Amino acid sequence: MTGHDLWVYGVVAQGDEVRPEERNIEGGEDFVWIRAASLAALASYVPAADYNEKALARHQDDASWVVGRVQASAAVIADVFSRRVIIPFKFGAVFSTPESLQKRLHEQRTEFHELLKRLENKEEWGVKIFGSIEAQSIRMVEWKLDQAVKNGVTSGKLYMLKKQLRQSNLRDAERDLKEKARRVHQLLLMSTDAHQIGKAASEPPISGNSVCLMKSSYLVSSSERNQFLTRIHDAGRQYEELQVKVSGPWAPYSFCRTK
Amino acid sequence: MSQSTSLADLLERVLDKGVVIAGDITVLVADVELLTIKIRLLVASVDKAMEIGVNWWQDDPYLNIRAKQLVERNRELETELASLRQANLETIQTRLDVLESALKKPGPRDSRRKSEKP
Repeated sequence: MTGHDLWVYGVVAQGDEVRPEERNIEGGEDFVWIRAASLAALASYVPAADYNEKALARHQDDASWVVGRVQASAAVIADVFSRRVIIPFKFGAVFSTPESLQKRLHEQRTEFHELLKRLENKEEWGVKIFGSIEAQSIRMVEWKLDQAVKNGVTSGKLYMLKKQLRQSNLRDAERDLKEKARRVHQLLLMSTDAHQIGKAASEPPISGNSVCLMKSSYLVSSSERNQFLTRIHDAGRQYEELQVKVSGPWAPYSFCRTK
Repeated sequence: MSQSTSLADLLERVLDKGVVIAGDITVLVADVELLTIKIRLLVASVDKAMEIGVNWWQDDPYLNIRAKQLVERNRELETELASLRQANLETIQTRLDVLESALKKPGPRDSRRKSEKP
């Protein structure tokens, strides 16, 4: 199509081409499957003038443009993912011609086929663990105070507790919370095939100044989903000082890096 | 445990992840990490976003009502938590003060010791 590029959503094995029930990235209903090397890439045509490098750079500052397209792209991928194995492409993968896309599929056919095999019946789950360091420091001083009362208070112990209360004991509290978050992660690894640790520090705090202690993505077999979620639920009950936020199931966005 | 898919989660995955393929690709949004952060900063604060005129969700009644409710609930929770924290701190402080003053008072053993001294 003259003046049009191909926006690529992802790749499936040939034979797995299902018609998306969502609208394409431009709000239309048309999709195309570009086939090569027993693979099929799901794409839709977009006006080249609106998707070239300059135009995209301009759109980056337009949240409504980007967010709308992110939602559309995610909906299409999620729809195919609910029925077939799909390797999602990174947002912004635009090819000028079907031939250039076919060439790429052909060149990376081995990796794509291996990935498709590895991702069969797998789904991605996102887990973020939050905790309030300040609240934890208070809990820790309270606990020490209880212990002190139980075992006999001395003026030395009181002095230390007062000092800890003044300093809020933040470093110890942070270490304690991070250790608990690590234990939850270890527990989740028992029901997962692969995992990726993200940058917790880049996550904004949630209500009550709870900071992100750990941010991870897990590749979970569909058959293990209930066990995985039960583990998270149990961990949440065991460590009441942690807030565990779960999102999923996602198409395996974090587990499809090619070599 | 809470299970929800926020817009931030969505942006993070779609913008930041997925297969990267080099070569004949004509366009690939550069610096996606920066873009993700930029967009997430925008959506992190509904009030701030409205201030600067980003109001794409206002056309969506679901997002509009929900966003407002979430912001209000968030404020309520933060206030509740702050007062709880303050109450906790005050309770501990009071307990410490009581214990301290109890220690300062000479107990029966202390009196006996004093009296035992020559």
